[in-house]
Amino acid sequence: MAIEKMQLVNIAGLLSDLDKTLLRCCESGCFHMEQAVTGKDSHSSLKMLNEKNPYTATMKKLKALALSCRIKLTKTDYSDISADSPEEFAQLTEGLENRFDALRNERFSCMKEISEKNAVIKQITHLKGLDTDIGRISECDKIVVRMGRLPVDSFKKLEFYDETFFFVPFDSDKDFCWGMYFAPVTEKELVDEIFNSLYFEEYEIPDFVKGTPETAFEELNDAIIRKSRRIEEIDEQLQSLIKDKKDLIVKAYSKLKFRNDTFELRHKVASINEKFYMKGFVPKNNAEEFVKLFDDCESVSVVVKPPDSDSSLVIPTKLKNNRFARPFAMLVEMYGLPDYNGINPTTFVAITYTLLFGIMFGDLGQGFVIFIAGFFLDKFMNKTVGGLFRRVGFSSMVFGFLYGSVFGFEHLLDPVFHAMGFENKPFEVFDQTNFILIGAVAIGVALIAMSMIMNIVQSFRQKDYENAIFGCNGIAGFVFYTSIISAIAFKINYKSPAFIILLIVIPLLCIFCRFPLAHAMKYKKLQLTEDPEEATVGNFIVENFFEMFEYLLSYVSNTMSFLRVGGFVLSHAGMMLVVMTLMESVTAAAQPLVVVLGNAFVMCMEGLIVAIQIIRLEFYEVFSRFYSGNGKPFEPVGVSDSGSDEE
Amino acid sequence: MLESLSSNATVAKIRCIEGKMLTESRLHELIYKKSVGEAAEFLKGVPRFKTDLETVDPATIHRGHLEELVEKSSFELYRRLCRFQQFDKIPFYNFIMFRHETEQILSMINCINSGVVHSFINTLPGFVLENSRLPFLEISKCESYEQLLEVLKKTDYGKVLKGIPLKEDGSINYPACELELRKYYFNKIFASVRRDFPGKDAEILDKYIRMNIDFINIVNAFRLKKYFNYNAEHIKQRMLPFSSISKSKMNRLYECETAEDMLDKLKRLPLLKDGVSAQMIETACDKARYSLARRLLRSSQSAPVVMYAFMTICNFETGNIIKIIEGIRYGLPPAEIEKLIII
Repeated sequence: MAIEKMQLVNIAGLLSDLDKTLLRCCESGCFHMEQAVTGKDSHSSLKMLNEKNPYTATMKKLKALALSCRIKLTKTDYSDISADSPEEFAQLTEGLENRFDALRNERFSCMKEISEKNAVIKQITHLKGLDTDIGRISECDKIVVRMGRLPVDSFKKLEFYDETFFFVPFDSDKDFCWGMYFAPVTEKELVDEIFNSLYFEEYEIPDFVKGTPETAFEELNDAIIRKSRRIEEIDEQLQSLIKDKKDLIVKAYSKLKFRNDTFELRHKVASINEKFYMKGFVPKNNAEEFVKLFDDCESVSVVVKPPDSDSSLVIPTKLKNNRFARPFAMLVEMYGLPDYNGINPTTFVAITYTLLFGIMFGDLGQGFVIFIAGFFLDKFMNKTVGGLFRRVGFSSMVFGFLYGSVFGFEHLLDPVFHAMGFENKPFEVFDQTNFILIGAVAIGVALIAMSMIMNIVQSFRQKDYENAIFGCNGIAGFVFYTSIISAIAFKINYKSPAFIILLIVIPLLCIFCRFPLAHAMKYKKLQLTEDPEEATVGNFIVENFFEMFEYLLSYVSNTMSFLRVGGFVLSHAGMMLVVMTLMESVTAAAQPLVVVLGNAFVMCMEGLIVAIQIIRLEFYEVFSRFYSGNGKPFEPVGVSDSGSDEE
Repeated sequence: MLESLSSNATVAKIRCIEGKMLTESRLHELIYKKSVGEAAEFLKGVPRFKTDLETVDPATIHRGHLEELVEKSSFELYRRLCRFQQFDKIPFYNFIMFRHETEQILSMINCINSGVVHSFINTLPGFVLENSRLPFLEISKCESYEQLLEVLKKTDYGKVLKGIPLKEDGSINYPACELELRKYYFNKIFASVRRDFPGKDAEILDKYIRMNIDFINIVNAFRLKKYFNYNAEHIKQRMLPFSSISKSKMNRLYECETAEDMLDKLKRLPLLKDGVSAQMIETACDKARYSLARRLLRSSQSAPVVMYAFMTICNFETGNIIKIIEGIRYGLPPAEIEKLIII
């Protein structure tokens, strides 16, 4: 249950060595950087470095290029990329862009040509009945003719104009109206401007289109085929270029991103007279190694101090967990990390979560499937989740063996138990309902009592005596809660005056008067509430009476909440009974299918619910007693994933 | 209760559509396009615009046309949503058309004042022309304020504008027309809200619309103070008389001696908790409006509230796309375009 010990590190040196220093900090993988100048130091002559990052623009360009080539950007080894300075990267990116742009521009102009020709074909299609040379239409001296398409919305606006032109529509779809407009040559400019403002897209009939529409149609089709072939060639060239340059782009981006992210760190660095100053935290175990990284940098000095030597900084938390508990850190982080001086509850969560899952979802066969699924998840998806699956799966197998349940077959293990000398299986769920429910509550009592003890230890560590001694989760609360539970469980004579006064009344009075008692203990002075001006005896009694009522209620409800552990044992057995009943009601051929589907359904649905319910128990009934989750995570400086959008 | 439950389908549908809107990273992708044609091709691939831009030819598309199609797409989406559960029969849901009508009348007044009446028809969106009950073709032929009043005389807009005299130099008093038309618009919306919806929906919607008005008032008041150094009385006269903030609080804002004092007070408003600066006040207000709309869209179960919030979001999305297309067309560097978009 440990938290990694930290050391505060101050680094100073010449500005010329800053890049090298930042690179080493990133490469060390253990340096958590802090703002060099905090509010407290704002009056000092140290100034923060707020330079513009010269890598960002090029990085965005390279990312856009990769995006347009559908190249997935991943973090990769870039040691063979020679570019280093922003200018070199800009040159490299520009070179790549030019090669791609040349092909793309040609492709775009081919497409444009095809599109124009297609449009002309569409125009000509509407003129197929015309037995005249198309070229002659544009050879008129007194009138101007333009062919094209007009958005349907603009077509409606034509009514507004009373100028001397007319528009002849050929055809229309839901968005465009195809046609040609005629206007006197003298008003050509005005009419062109009107149609331009109405988004008329003109399709000029090329000079080579001569003759009747039929012959023009064929010629245009040939030209389109030629251009389409060229587009195919360009696509092939583009693909081979992408194949050629893919590695270079990914590597260059990786390096560029590293440089960019490292440069970003300069915003946390302060400077004065050509010198830089930065600070941060390093795990105590790595401190020596970290200092050695700068041995060859003469101008850089690294000073290691105790972590609390700068009161303006919050010390970050890095959990130190054993191999078994490591995957469960994910659940603790979900709630929030502990304070640097707090308790790391991961091992506690790991043990209780594993046990509770096994109890609530005990089945040898299903547990085995979860256990195996853990290996697959570990290999192909997420190591943490895989580890979690393996642990809970194993626990499920152990309890499944005790329940004698294998994929819902409750008597499959009977011969094993007989061989071991048992008459029956050790645990018959439906025959021992009361034991299961009482056992569930007992587990709850044990967990609540343990969380109270952790609260007491932690509060004493933090010198919070109100919480440690007089709080509802402190010594007073612990004495009261365990006394009541012991009286019920062990049938102690709770009517005796000694029991009532010592174990009930005094703890309750302590909880009731926790603030004045703690205040008196600390300052040797009596005060009813935090704000002495608003404190009246009446207020104090009313406020504390209701709080006390809430505490008493929470002791009961939190304990009863653990009944769900027993409930799920019964529910799991019940659901498997349903599967077995269904199996018996179908033909022999369909029985294996029912068993497989039934087990899959129970594993997915109930497994998920059990997993969520245990998290709920841990968070609400246990963590709420001693854990605040306000810690600051230890985040070593480094480079985010290449493909991410963080920049 | 059954009525409110029955509108849940629209709420779910809107949330589903909202989930498919352009994300921040997709907008960034659009920003890096190098021509209007490339932008059009990109938008053709976006599911929301796929149908509406189906027949667009990226090689020949005009920037203005592309922008109009994007706006039209939002309008068509709104009409489809209204028809989905026959909301189009409820007067409140005409708020988009009322807004477009108000904007177009103001645009016409501007054109008359600037002596470019012929340009009005070019900027008039086709979907407004098609769906509005106002005779916009006739309006577009007006050459003076009198002619405009004559065309509008049988409409409510005509009655609102009738009482506003011309300025001494003979031009139309645009600020007064704008204030009166907007007052009329919001009064009509508030009346529909009270009439068309049960208690709680009306309460939330009323407050939400008032918050939107607050943003308009804040931006206008700040501009009047900073650029024209108006005093409190003049500012109050130019403000829309609706607010979600108490009158005394707004008055204290208008009574600030300088724009800097006003800015200090604005920073303390919960509406602008994410910060605001003198140069970017409009952007800050827009961002706050955008995040407010998103929050309401996700948290509310009331169809009118969700619809109003969604249309605000659509408006921002359309605005973002238009800004990007214009930025590309006029060769603005991507970093500059990024500053203009509201996310």
